[in-house]
Amino acid sequence: MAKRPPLALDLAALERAGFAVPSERFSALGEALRPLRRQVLETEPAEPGRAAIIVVTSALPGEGKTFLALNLALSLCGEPGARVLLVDADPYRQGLAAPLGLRGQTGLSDALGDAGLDAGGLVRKTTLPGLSLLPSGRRAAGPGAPPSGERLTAALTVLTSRFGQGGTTIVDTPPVLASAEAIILAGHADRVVVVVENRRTPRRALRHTLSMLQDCPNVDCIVNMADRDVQGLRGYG
Amino acid sequence: MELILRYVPYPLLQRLRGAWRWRWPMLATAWAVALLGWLVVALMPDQYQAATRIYVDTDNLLTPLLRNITVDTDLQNRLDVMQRTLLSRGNIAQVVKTAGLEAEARGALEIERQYQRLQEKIAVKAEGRNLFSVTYRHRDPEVARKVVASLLDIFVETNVGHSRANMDDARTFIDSQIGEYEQKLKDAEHRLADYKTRHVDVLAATGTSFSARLDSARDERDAAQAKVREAAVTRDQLRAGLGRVPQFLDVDSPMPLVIGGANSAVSPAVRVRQLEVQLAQLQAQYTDRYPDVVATRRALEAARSDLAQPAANAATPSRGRAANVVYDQLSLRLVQAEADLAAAESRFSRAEETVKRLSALAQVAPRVEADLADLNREYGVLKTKYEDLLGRRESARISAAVETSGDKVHFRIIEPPYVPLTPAWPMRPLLSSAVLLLAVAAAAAVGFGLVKVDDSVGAAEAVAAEFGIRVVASVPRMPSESGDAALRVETRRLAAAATGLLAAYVAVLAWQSLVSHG
Repeated sequence: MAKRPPLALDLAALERAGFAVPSERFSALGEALRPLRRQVLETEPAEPGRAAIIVVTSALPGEGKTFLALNLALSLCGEPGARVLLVDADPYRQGLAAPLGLRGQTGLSDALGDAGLDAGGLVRKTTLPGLSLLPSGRRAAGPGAPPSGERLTAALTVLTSRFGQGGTTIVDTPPVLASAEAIILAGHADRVVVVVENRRTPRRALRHTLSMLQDCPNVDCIVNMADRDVQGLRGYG
Repeated sequence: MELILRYVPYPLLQRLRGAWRWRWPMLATAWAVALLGWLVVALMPDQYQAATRIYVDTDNLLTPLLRNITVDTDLQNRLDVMQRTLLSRGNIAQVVKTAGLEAEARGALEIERQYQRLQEKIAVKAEGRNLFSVTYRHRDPEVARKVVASLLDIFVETNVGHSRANMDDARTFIDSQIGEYEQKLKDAEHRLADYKTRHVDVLAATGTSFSARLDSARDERDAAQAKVREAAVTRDQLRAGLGRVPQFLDVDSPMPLVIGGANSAVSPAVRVRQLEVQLAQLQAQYTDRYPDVVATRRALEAARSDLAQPAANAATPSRGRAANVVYDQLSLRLVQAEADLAAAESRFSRAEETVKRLSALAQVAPRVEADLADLNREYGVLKTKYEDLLGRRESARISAAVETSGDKVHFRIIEPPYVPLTPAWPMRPLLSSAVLLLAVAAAAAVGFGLVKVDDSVGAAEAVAAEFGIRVVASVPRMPSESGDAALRVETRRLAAAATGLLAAYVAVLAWQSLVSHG
């Protein structure tokens, strides 16, 4: 896996696209994510010797899972000595492919579909120190190829143990209410972050999602598209 | 932007933020409502308002109507009376006839409804103490004008015409009464005159008592009777005396000397002449029936017979027989006495007649007098009445003169019935603006309604409280090139849609003004 050159990330483009790249400048997004970052870093893996698994999911598509997962990963890389593996586990959307230029890269779905392929070998380092990526894969998931829970779990185990203690694996999943993968992945997570979009996510859907995730440990919530607190911003001009 | 938002109350801000999600449904609602509303406004039938303004001297015109109803009449009362007078059933029926609205309603019930509708739709408004306006709206301006005009006509006729006709009626009545009374008065005058002439003898006694007159007549009669008796006695004595005195005296016997006898020695011829002269004199003075005349004539005849017999007489006296002077005198006196008697008798009979007549009249006199009093009274009454009528006619003439001279204005048409060229309703610009406002309001209602029924989650605290979950981050929308661009595009579209609505509004207004003035 180290043979391939590290994936070049266009940080400037990412910043223009609204991502919170690590920088000296003040970033509102970075600030907002600071408590989450702290929690993620403090998350202990259930089994020692492997990386902590952070599953980012939501009730419905389009609520900002991918955006927040990438942001979280990027901002974690700002921390000294952080090692972050971002896994795109959403074969339907492949949300990370566009911003990171991963389209057409082999990834998770290929490893799941092909027993001979090692998921760990498909992880790509990036030019941003501490950040590794596992693309979604070229094999588009369809009705004909239902994801296998066992294989997924096995792949995840391989990835995290290989990544090792002290690392953080951030898994971007499909919506809970749209596919089973999210539940399976969340079942193995050390921390589940449910993304909720302000004024968009229906209460029923959220309630349903939370009930499905009730067995998971450390279920937290991020409110996306939150209202800017006008009163609070006053001091910052 | 944020500077402005700082001053928006937080709950409202939350609402607005919630509504932002429904911006497109809201805008679509606004468009739909506006288009529909403008269509409805455009399709509304035109209504033209005819109006007239009249000045009515309610003090003069209405006070008679209000007499005995109220002491002081305020404006509302006046208006009420005006309305009721003007919009009476009869008037409305006439208006319907003159305005040609009969065809609009068939059957008693429909006609009744039509009348009611008219009564409701014709507006009589007070614009001050004595100024009233009458307005009516109809989709046909000509009909509207006709209704108001005919109403005004009716008003003018029933009021001015009425009092004037009343005045005329009164005058002709008075005139006819005067004629009647004139005739009556003339008749009464005639009757009175007739009566007076018929009973002039009774009425001649006015002043002296009638019985006194009767008494004097009686006295007169008694006196005349006494005279008759007296004259008869005188005559009888003379006659007796004459029998004793011989007519001739023997010649041989000494002729008695008679001195002073006027005709003692007068020959019969001379005597005849004397008597003829005397008779002529008397006849010149009196009628033939006058006693003296009668007596003289008789004496003349005697004298003539004396003159015719002298031969016979002379034969005898020739033998010494001469006429006795005393005898002659006595016979003369007898003649006179007889004449006196005759005169007295005639006077008596006259007096007797008078007494009879007067006593007969004495019985009817009181009735005559009473009748006369009646007649006089009747005449007086008629005369008073007649004069009263004359006076009234005069005063009627004077008041009519006042009326027609225009000193006393009952009312004046300030503004004759007219219909503006532009319809009074619908006021399309106003309604179109209202439609726009309504559209905006509908959009707002839709937005807030959707926010209300929206089941989506809210702010971080709400999520934490509601679901018992920890909210570890609250991430605002991040500015990004693509996101910002998309937002810009969307904002631009939104602005275009909103501006389009405003432009459509302006276009609608322009079109309306073009249609209404063209």
